[in-house]
Amino acid sequence: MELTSAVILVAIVDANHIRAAILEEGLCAAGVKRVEIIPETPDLLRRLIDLSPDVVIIDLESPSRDTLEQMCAVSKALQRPVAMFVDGGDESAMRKAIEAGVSAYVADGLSSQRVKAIVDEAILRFDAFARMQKELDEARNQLAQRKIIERAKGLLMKRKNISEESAYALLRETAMKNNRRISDIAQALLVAEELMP
Amino acid sequence: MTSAPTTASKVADGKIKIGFIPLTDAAALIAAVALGLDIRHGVCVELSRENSWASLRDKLLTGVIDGAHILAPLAMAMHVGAGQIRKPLIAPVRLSLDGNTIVFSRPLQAALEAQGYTGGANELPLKFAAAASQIAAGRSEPLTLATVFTQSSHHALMRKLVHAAGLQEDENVRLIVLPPSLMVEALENGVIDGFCAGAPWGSLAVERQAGCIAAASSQFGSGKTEKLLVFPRERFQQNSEKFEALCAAVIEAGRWCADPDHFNELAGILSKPGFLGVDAKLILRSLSGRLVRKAGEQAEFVPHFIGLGGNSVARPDRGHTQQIISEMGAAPADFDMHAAADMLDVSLVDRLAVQPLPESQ
Repeated sequence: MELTSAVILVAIVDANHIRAAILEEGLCAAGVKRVEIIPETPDLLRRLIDLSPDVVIIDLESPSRDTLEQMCAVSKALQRPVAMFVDGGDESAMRKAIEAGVSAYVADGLSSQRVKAIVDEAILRFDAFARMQKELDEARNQLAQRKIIERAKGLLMKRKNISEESAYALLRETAMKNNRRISDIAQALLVAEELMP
Repeated sequence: MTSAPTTASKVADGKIKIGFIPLTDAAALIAAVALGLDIRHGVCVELSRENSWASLRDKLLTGVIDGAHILAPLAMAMHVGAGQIRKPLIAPVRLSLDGNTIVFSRPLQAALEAQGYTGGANELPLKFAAAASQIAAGRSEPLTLATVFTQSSHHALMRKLVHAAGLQEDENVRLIVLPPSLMVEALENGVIDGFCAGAPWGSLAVERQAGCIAAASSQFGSGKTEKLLVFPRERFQQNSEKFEALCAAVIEAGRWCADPDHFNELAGILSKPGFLGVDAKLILRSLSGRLVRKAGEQAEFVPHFIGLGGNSVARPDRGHTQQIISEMGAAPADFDMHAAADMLDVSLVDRLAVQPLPESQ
C-alpha cells in the first residue's frame, strides 16, 4: 500500500475510546507509522497545532469539529495549511464518509490517493465499530428479553399454580393468538402485575 | 458522475428533514413541528439536532438533510463558495435577528467593573482595553476569547470589539472557536476569558456562576440578520410546493413565538431534551430579553434582544447582504455581490401571505 512510502502522522479525535483504538490499529495495519489519539478538550486546537498532523480524523458528530474548522480558516498561523475535507467536490465520496460518521481534515500537499486510503480505512473501521455496537445492543436486548420472560413465567407459575413448562406454553400460545412476540406478552404481564398487584 | 444527489430524500412525499443547532433562535422551526403546524400545512418535518455547524453544513452539502437552521454568513459562504465547498442555496425565511451575548469570566468582568463599566455598548471597547491589559499583565498567555464558528456574526462582533479596543488579534488577544457545550467548562478552567454565543448559552454560564453577561449583540445596533432557514436551491426548485408549505408553517410558528403571551409555553417546548435540553427558566430570559447579567442579580430588560417572528423578521433583507458578507471574514477578491444577494429570496414571505389557519385561533 502506498501509505508506507513516507512517514505521515494521523491524529484521531474521538470521544469514543474503543472506536479510536480500533481505528488506530487499522491505520497501523495499513502502514501508517505514526498515529496519535487526542482527547476532546478545550485546548484541542493548541494540541493539534503542536502536533501538526498530516491528517486529522474526527468523529463527524463531535462538537469539536467547529474548532477544527477554525484551524482551516486560520491556517496561515500554522506551519502547514490545512485543506478542507476530502479534496472537496466528490459528493458521493463525501456522503459515504458522512454516513459512516467520519470527517477528515487534511494538510495541503498530501496526494489525494493517500488521503483516500486513510479515509477509506477510517470508514471501514467506523462501520465495523457500528456493526459491533449493533450486535452488542442486540445481544443485550436478547438477554433483557430472556429475563423478562423468566420473570413472567415465574409470575404465572405462582398465580396459576402451574409448572414452568405450562407457563411458557401459555405465554407462547397467547403471543401466537395476538400476533405478538413472547417477550411483548411477558412485558405486558409484568406491567399489569405492577398496576394490579 | 452527475451532481444528481444520491439521496434518500422523501420531500416529494411531503417528508422534509431539517437540521438545527440547539439554540433559542431555532424557535420558529421547532415550534412549527411541536405545534403540528407542519402537518396542517401538508408536510411532515423531521428535525435533526446537530452537534456542530460543521456537521450541519456537511449534511446540507451532501443532501443528508433537506434544509437547515443556519448562521447567515455560513450559508452565504456555502452559496458563493467562499472558504466552503460551493452549494447554491435559497433562503426564503429568516429565522431570527440578534440574540447573542458576550460573556466574560468573573475576573475579567471584575476588572471591567473596576474601570467603571456599567453595561453600555459605547463604553465597552475602551474599558475592555484597560481590563484586558490588566488581566494579561499577570500572566504569560494572551487574553483568549471564544466564539462558536469562524464565519459567524459572533466572530465578527468579537473581532470588532478587539479592534475597537485598539488590541491586536493574535498578539494581545487570541480568538478561538469552541463548541458551546465546552464554553462554560473552558471559562471555569481559565482556558478562555470570555465568549460570544447565541442564547441560551450566556444565561447558562451566568447560572453556573462561570461568567457574566457583559453585553448583548443587540446593544451594538439591533435588527441584524442572524439565522436563516435555507434549502439546497436545486432540491427546493424540484419540490417548491412542499418546501413552500414548510415555509408557511415556519412563518406562522414564528408569529406565534413572537407573541409574549406564548413565551412560557414556548420556553417549555424548547427546554425538552430533544430540542435544547436547557432549563426553561433560562430560555425564558432570552425570549423576553430580561437577562440576568450576573448570578444573583436582578434581571435587566434588554430592548430588541432577539427577533423570532413576524413578517419583518421572516422576510430576508437584501440590504443586509453587505453585513452578512463582512461576517464571512476574508472573502475572495472576485466576489459577486449580486450572486450573494441572490440567495436571499425576499418575495416568498409576502407571496405566501400566511394567514393563521382557522383552527389555530
